[in-house]
Amino acid sequence: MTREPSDQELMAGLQQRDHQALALLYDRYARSVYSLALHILRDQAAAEDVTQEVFLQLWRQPERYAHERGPLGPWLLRVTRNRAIDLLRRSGRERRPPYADARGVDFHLADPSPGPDEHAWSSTVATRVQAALGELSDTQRQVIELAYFRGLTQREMADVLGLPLGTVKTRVRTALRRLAEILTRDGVWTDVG
Amino acid sequence: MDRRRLTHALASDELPAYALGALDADESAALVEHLAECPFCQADQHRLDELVGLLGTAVPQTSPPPSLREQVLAQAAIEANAGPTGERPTLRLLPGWARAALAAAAALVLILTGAVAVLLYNQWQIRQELDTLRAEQREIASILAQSAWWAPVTAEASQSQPVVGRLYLEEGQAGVLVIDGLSPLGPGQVYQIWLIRADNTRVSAGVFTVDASRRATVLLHAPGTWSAYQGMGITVEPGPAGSPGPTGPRVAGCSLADWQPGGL
Ligand SMILES: [Zn+2]
Repeated sequence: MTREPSDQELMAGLQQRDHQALALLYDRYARSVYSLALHILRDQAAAEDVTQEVFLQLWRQPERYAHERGPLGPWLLRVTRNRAIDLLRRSGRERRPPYADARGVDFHLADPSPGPDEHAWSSTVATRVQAALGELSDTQRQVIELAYFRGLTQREMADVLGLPLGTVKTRVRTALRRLAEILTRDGVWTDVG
Repeated sequence: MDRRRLTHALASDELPAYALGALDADESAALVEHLAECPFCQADQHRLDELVGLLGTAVPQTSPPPSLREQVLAQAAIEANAGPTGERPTLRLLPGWARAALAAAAALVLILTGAVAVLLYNQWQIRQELDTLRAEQREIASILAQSAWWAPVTAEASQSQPVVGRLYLEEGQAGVLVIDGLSPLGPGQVYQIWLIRADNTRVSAGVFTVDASRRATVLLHAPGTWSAYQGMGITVEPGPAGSPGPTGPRVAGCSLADWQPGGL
C-alpha cells in the first residue's frame, strides 16, 4: 500500500475530474461534515442533503477552494456550517433556544468519539478545540454557541439574553480572539495544515 | 448608499462577529468595504475563517448512512458524463431540504427565451424534478394571471446596464420576479433576493442566475405575508447557496411604496 494522497493531491485530482479522488475525500471528511450539519439542523434528511451538497459543490467547483486560505478540513466545515445555518434561517424554524439561560449545551466538550472512517485531523483537532472551548467562561461560550449553531446575530443575541448590544459584541469579540490565542498557543494551526 | 466608513481599528473589532456571520446586514456591508482595501484585515479574516471551521469539529460524531456515499458518487459520475461545464444544462444547487421547507426555498425557472432550464434539486430524481418544475410553472402562470399587485423593479444607479423588471405578488406569500438586463455572473456567484422587513432587516428569498439572455423568472415565497415587507433588493453573493445576509453589491430592487394594484 502506498502512502495516502494528501488533500492537495486529491484536490488536484478533482480538477482533473478524477472520480476516485472524490471518493477518497468523501471518506476522509464526510463524517465530520455530516456530524456538524446534523448537530445544527437536528434533522437527518437535512444533514444528508447538506453533506451531499458540500461534496457535490467540491466536485463541480474545486477551484473555489484555494489552498492559500488554509487547510481543506476547516474550510469544508465552514462551508458546511454556513450552508446549514442558511437552511435553518430559510426554514423559518425557531432558532432561539427555548430557555433564556442557554449555556454550555451546544459544543460537545467530551470525548470526540472518532469513527473508523475518520481522517486523523478531526479527532486530534477536536480534542484541542474542545479543550480551548473549555477555557472560555460560560458567558463567552454561550455567545459563540448561539451564533455558531443557531445563526443568531449579535442583535438577536442581545435580545434573547436581555443584554445591551455592546456587551454581546464585547463577549463575541473577546471569546473568538481568546479561542484563536489558545489554539495558537497549543499549536493547532500546525496540526491541521 | 451612505454608510459609515470603518477605521481599521473598528473593522478589526468586528471581524470575529463577521466570521461567525453574526453581524447585521449594514454592519457586514461596511466591513466588506474595509476588507476589500485592508490586507491586514484580510489576513486576520482568513485566520478567523479557519477558526470557525475548526469549531465545527467540537460536535458529537456520527457517520452518515452508507447509502449517502453511493448517492454522492453516483451523482458526481452523472454530472461528469454530462460533459464539460460549458455544454451541460445549468445545474443549480438549491437545498434538497426543500422537501421539508419548499415554501422557504426559491425555485427558479428561466422561461422568457422559451428555453426551459431544468433545475436539479440536489439528489431528487429527474421524475420529481420535472413534477416540481411543472408545478412551479403552473404556480408562476397562476400568479402572473391573478396577481393582485406588482411593483416595478429598477437598477441601482451604479449599474451600467439598464435593469427592468416587475415583482408580481399574490395575496398571501407567493410572488414572481420577472427581470431583464442583469449581467451573467462569474462561476461561484449568484444573485440573491432579499425581502426587507419594516425594521430594515433582510430575509433571503432565494438565489438565481441569468444566462446570456440576461433574463430570469423566479418564483418566490415570502416567509410570512407580503405585508411584513417594505421592499425587495437583489445583491450579488457567493454561490451556489448565497449568503446568510447581504454582503455583495445591490444591483436592483423595489420599494413597497411603489406597489400597485393590477396583474400583467
Ligand atoms: Zn483593516
